[in-house]
Amino acid sequence: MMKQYCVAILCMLIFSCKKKYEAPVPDARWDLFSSSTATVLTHNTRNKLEGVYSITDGTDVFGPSAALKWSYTANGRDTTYHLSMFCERQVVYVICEGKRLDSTILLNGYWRNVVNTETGLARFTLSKNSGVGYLLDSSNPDTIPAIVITGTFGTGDVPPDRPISLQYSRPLYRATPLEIVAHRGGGRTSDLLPASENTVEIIKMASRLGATGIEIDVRFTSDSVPVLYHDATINERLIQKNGMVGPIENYSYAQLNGLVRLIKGERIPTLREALDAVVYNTSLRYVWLDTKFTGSMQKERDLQVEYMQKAAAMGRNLNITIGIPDEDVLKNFLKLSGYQNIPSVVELTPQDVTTTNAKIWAPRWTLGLQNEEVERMHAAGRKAFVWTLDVPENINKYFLQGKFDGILSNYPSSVAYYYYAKQ
Amino acid sequence: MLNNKTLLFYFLLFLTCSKSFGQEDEVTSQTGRSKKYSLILYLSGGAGYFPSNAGAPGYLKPKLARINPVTTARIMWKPDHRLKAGFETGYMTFYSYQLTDANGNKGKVSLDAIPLLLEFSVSVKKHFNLFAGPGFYILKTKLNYAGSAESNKVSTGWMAAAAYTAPLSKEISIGAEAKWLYAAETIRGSFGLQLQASWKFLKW
Amino acid sequence: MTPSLLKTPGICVCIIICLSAFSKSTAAQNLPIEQQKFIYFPHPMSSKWTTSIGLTATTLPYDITEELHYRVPAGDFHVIRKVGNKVNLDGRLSIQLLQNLATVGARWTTALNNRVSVGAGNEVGYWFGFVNFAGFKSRGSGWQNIPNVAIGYRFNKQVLLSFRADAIMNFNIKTFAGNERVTTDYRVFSGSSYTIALEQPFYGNRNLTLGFRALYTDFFWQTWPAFESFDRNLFFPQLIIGLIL
Repeated sequence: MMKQYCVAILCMLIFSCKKKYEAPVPDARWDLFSSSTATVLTHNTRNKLEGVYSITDGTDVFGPSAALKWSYTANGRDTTYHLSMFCERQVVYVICEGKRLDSTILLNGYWRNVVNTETGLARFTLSKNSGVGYLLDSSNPDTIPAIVITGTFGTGDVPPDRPISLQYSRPLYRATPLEIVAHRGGGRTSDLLPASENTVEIIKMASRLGATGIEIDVRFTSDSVPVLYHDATINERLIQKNGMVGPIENYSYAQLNGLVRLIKGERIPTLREALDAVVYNTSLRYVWLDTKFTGSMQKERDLQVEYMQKAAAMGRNLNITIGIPDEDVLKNFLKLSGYQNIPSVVELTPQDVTTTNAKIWAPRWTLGLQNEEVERMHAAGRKAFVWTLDVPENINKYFLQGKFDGILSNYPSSVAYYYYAKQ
Repeated sequence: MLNNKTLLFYFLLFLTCSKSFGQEDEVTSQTGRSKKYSLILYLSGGAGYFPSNAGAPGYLKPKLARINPVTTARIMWKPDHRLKAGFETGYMTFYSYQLTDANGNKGKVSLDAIPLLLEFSVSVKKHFNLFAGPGFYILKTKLNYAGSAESNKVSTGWMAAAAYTAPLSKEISIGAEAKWLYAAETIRGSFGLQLQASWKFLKW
Repeated sequence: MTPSLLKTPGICVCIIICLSAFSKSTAAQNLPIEQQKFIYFPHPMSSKWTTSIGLTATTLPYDITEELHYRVPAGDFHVIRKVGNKVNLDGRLSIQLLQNLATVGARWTTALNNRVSVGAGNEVGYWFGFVNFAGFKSRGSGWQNIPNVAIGYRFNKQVLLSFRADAIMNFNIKTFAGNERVTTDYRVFSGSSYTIALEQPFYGNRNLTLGFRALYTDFFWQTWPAFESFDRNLFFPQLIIGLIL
């Protein structure tokens, strides 16, 4: 009998082990960086730091090259700037804040590989002989000295000790504009990002992840409040379990707002809250409202008008388009008065694009490059976006051979690297 | 989700860990073969205990009702060996709880289910049977908070049970069953104790 | 890795019930192994052929399926052929019509004593699939190599318990979405799986296999149309039911 129970216990141990994957953002406190004498970087310094850098130390984690770009999050009168390093190695990024301490520039933050759980601290210093004089100088000389960013990185919360070194090689590519559209407001919950998908929190992060625009999923509650939620049902993938199951449309907004918390603790946001964040907290310039409901689209349309007007009043060039993913939504869209003047993004045929007078045609990437069709869209004054490109080799191929104006991706940092590093 | 299958696995494992497979009344030969095939109907009613706090999150200050009714019916085909196969369904409440939201508003959530389960069973001692099998649960949320709402969803799941029945006649027995009912969407299962009646209603 | 099951009250309840049920042995009788039929049990075959038909049902993780949480059934045809005293060939077809896996391999088995036997083998598999979804066609194919070891325990009477561990190696995975090649970056050593299988008489001369397989892998062939990008092992629990003919 003992032998049998030994086998049982052995098997129990083997079958009991389920790894819970997490990638928490490391605690980035750094005394030197928090020093009272450290000051924020000027606009000029931030601009000079942007560029494509070659990586010497740390290539096994970050790859041979990275594109460095700043973004900001506004919160009333406070604005926080982040320097993102979009790395060539899939799908790795670094997010830092920057400060000046005397004649030194400090960059403090963390790195993450999104396809797995690798993450850790990253700290950089620019001092003498690394071009810091040029970076801190308010003038803009014609010749750019060698800029070398050196630092250390580690794993998890452990103080970083592995060397990383980046050397400036060229400015960011910006010749042909590209809309880098982050899926589900910035990324998927399953990629273990710091915030849940389709939340205000992830929307505020989207620019740091490389996005210039976002796609968000719109559904209606039983009392017709438009909210952000991707799946057809409330389920354990997205929410903390509370005994509520079934379609989100079966519950009122008050019930969802009062009782449901998403995986990272957020509430399900209304579309209004999401667009508020876009307009007042971010520099995003494009929003794709993915219509996940059937029924009247008037409320979605009203919010589109309201927030494009609010953005315009702030001097923002924000484009919000209503997504038309299938025939049912198309029928409802055509019931809107003046539908031909409503900015929309159509995933269906070019004929449907013409019928709706959509601003954007958005075929799935699996249909191929379709360069001739894209050029016809351009000739008609429309744009073409492709979805959902995640594999870096394919992203690069669409840059090198394609003519699309925008790319929707779960990994906007990869799209950002290939775009800004383009020569 | 791991628990879903692993508990079934353990059940099968322990089911095999014994040298003690006894013989039923009709098991006659060394190979354990019986004389006839039969169909047996089991009707059970009792209470289930939901042992976990998962599913009633702390931010809702839940007052959990862990003990709830469980009623099930199963039909098993007994071939000429000791392994039986069949199907089980019924109606049960996994758990319910009174809640208080961040603003002090009260409410109630109840999670009920209709199990639809494929089952296998083996007799381990005289009158003592083990049951286990995979299947689905049609989950139903009943919500009373800021109005009322009902909503359904199908979840994968499984069950495992041990039953002792005392024969009243050749066809009818009564007894008790302890069972574990698990729907993946509930995160945890419910432990049930039921009174049971079985009727061997067809033999051939 | 957390032994989470041990923290689960339901498990304790089940274990206590089962241990209680089996705490006292009763006299039981043996059936010679030569008269028993098995597919998984690692023991030298006595008959020339043994064939099993059944199905597997694999639960796909939310990381891949997102909205749905469901078991994917697949037809399972399994045949073993004795080619030597302790060696048999092993062939298996896992069929879902639009995507299928065929494996062939060889296995060496030996009995350590009257109760315990062990085996080791290697299987080579090829999977392929076609999906026509929403007007665009995807296709995929790939090779697998599955070295495995197994240990079996024969209980009194006719109950055979087998435990098998596999290493899962994937090669040459090619997936296409429409005409576009989806470049893949899968690890050759893609994970491992652990199977517990119970084989015993069911009705007439038919035996039944009830099994559970736990796969920990970064690529499970049935999920190729998802083109998932995660570089981490996911858990795929699989139920196995087979009728040994």
